[in-house]
Amino acid sequence: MGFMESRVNKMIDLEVGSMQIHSNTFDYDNDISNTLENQEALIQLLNNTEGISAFTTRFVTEGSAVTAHGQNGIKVIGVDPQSELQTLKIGERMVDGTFLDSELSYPIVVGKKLAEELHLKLKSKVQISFTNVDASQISKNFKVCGIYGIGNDNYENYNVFVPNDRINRLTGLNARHEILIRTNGDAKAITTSLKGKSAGNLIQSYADRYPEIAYMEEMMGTSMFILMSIIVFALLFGIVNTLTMSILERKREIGILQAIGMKAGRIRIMIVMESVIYGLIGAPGGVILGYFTILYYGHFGFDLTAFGEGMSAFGYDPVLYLSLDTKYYFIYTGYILFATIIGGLYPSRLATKLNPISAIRAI
Amino acid sequence: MKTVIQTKNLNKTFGKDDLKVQALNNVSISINEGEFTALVGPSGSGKTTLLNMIGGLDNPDSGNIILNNQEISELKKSEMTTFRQENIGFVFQAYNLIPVLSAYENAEFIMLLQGTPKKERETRVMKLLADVGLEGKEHNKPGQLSGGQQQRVAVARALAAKPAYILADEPTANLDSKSTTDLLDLMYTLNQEEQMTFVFATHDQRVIDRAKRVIYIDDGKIVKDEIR
Repeated sequence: MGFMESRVNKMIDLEVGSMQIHSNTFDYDNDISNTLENQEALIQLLNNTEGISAFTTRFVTEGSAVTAHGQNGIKVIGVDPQSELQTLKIGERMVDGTFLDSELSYPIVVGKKLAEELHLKLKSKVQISFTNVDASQISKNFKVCGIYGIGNDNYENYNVFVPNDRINRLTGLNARHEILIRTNGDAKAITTSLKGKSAGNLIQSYADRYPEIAYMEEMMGTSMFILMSIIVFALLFGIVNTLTMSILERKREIGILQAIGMKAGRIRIMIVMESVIYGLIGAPGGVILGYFTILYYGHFGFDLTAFGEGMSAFGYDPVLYLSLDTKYYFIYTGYILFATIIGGLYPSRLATKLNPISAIRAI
Repeated sequence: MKTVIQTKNLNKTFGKDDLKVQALNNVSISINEGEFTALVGPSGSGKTTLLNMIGGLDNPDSGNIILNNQEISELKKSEMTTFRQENIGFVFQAYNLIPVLSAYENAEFIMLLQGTPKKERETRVMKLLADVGLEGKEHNKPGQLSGGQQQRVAVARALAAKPAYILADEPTANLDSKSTTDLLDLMYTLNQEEQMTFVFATHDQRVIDRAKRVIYIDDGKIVKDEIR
């Protein structure tokens, strides 16, 4: 469960936030001039909305990063470091330096992957170029003040962070292209409540803006169901096998019970109850063991660094922090008990089909 | 005297083709209430097959079985199970007690199936165990009892349901001489004092000697019916 959930949470915590706001046309034309409408009113609206714990305004443009070792297409994100760090947890993922807490005149924070590609270290120079409003080319040397690593090669290779005030200085624009919002409530509900309250802007939850996240969330449930079904299916075989063996070993006792007048229905109930007792003993044991395992790996993480290279290429954290929603403990216990009842049916039928005469003679 | 067991022209064949064995061949018997009967014959003569038939555990290929005025071929499987529970007590050669239950619980079990109230169960089981000489052994598991004692528990279990008759298949085969004598004394006393009907399948001479009626079977046929 932690695998998918940690990917979704990571995207929300480090990359996209819970909600985003752009101008209505930004997605079709991300020209530098396509900034947010009525920015001040929008900020006031967000400040007055319940359930929003933090937000950050961003300048966003595409450009390139060039060093002596090569060049890369990048997304230049102008940020106010303080609000950015309140909104996203990228400050916790700095592998070197700081997140724009620097005395350098033009500081930049780059991803670990980009740093590897362009051979960047702290204080390395990198030339950042992008197109201004008047179509003129802006090129400026920035110095690396921090390198972040979030375990997502594509993101690290593409996104660089610079202070908003330096971008303003270079472009002469004091406007923003997007707002990232962190919520402490239901992002989808807050998005719905804000829709239509900011003319010219598009307010979207992470699921609206990045359908792949919503898909991943949906997939989590589906994949868990499939996984559980496979486990329950295997469990069924285990129960059927154990009980069948147990019945064959107790053929004689069952034969006696039949001979002295125990009805088939009672024998059936007896065997199914036996199966349910296995479940009642096993399920809490498994749930407790699972709870502590998840607690341990949820805290210390499940280190898959050996496969980290491949995992980060797909945006997955090489250290997996397991988690499981409380409801699943009950659902899985229910599954197991259901499986024990179903698993007991065939052996119970087998027991009632025994011929008492030959069963009594069985040794 | 009331007839509790009656068979008419029973036939039963096991196996097929060359391996076909006729276990019962037109067997007709009638056993009255209070009889102490031994079915006697060599191994393979058909006495256990006949005992299984009158115990409602097996069906004939043809013929009729009337047990306690009930034609059992008319009964469904579940009705037959209830009939056995209410009318027939079994004592097996290998005792066949439930190993995980104590002597008390083994004897009590059939009364549980009958839905007898707890108080009545307790009184009856304690009396039965005392009657079969197992006072103080109520909580012993079968593994903690001798063969003779286990067979006494089996008799107590058979009696617990207040059956119309008791069927015993080679009940003394696994017992030593003293245990055999004690068990036969017990059964004989129950027969004399409570008019309990006993039918034994046996080739133990000690049992045959105590029987009041001996039915000899050979090759599935009744060859002699001796009332003493």
